[in-house]
Amino acid sequence: MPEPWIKINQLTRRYHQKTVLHEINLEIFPKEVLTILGPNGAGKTTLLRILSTLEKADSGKILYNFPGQKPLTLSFPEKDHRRISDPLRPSLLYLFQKPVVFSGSVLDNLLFSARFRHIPVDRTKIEHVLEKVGILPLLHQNARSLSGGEVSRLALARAFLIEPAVLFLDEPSANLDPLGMQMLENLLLDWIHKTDMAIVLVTQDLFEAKRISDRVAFLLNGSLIECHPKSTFFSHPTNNLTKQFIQGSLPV
Amino acid sequence: MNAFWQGLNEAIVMILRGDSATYEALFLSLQVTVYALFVSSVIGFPLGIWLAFSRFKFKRLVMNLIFTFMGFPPVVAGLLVYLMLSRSGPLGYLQLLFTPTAMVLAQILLALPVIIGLTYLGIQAVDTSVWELAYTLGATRWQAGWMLFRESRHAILGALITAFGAAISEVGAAMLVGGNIEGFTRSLTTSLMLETRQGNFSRALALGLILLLVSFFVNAFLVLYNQTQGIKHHARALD
Repeated sequence: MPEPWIKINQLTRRYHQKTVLHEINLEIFPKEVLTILGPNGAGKTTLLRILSTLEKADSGKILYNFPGQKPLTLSFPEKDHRRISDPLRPSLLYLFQKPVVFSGSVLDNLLFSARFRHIPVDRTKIEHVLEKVGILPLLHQNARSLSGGEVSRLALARAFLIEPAVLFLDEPSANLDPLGMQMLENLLLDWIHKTDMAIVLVTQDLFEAKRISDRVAFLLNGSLIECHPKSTFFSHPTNNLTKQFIQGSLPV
Repeated sequence: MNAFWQGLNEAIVMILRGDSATYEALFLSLQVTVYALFVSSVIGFPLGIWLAFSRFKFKRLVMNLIFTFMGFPPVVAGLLVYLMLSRSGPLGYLQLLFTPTAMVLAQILLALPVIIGLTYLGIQAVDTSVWELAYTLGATRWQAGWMLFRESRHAILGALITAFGAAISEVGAAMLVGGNIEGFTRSLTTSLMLETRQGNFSRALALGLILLLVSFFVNAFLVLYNQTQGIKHHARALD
């Protein structure tokens, strides 16, 4: 097993009085797809947002250790979170569940991303990433007129342009049809095959988790119930709640 | 009605002939308003963005105050600036009273709350996840703020047009702190007032017409600019 790129230690997040994440411990390794599985309101999105530095936690630590970079630890409550987490941002990319775009064309959207990250682009590169996700004909189309699925593809095209070390995907199946999902999964698996990147994917869909994951973590009511390699997770879950979730008999 | 047509006639003649007093008043009005809008924009837009995002204790009170000042009576703004700049006032030593600079200051007082308030409301109306999107894509906080500002450009345009209208058309403050000195602080509105008082209704009407035309062209320019910005894309950047 290689060294983990991200090590989460006793991470806790509260909103007002409610504990959204409770003492989470988890590791993320290079070249793996880690799926965070759980029902609505389990805290999946919050966890993803904290890992991608969009949000702060209340206590606990996250250690980021990327090759060729100085290891960096966020110890919550981190006072100067934005500034301290800044060096991490080029390595991380979070894809929203909600379809969000900048006004302008599809091309504009890609160029903005490239400019923010100081990535040199040319026409070939832009066309290449759009071709990959199947929306090259939409190059000059107004991004606001895209469908939810097309926005998801645009977001993926941005990811290919940016090439982060860790890609966080928040419920990609929410906007993609089965065909789109198949494309996404194939592209991600191909990507991970070619590079060392890590993919952290949040979903409530068991089948999606089964298809794409290397490891699966089960999150329920803000607590991490268990985390195992995919085969173990589905065939021999240790926790009763996990068993019930897999069988679809988790009491509501 | 006769006076109206006569005024219209005279206005056209004045514009075509280039009546120097009228043009001086026009240029002063434009100059004062452009300076005031420039300063108000530089301060007001960032402040409006900041207010839309920040949370602090008396925010509701602050916003209420800003919204109140959006309807600031120009003559009160003029009075405040007058008191500040008058010889016994705290800034009296600057000797700015009865200068165009004093008029700019008074107009800033009128335009700034409009720009802050309407920027704030405009940003509240757009999807703020654009900010987060920009941030996750590696934008600095200011770049992300700019992206949000860009999304709210229609509201921004509304803010500019409203502030421009309020500033160029006000007469109370210009009169009080400018003093309507011929060839120096005589603007379109103050000279319009003077001409009306003196019974030169056709001249006054002519000035009013010029004022309207200025507003029309400035607004047309702003709207047109906004539209071309919407269509324009960076395709050229690639070639």
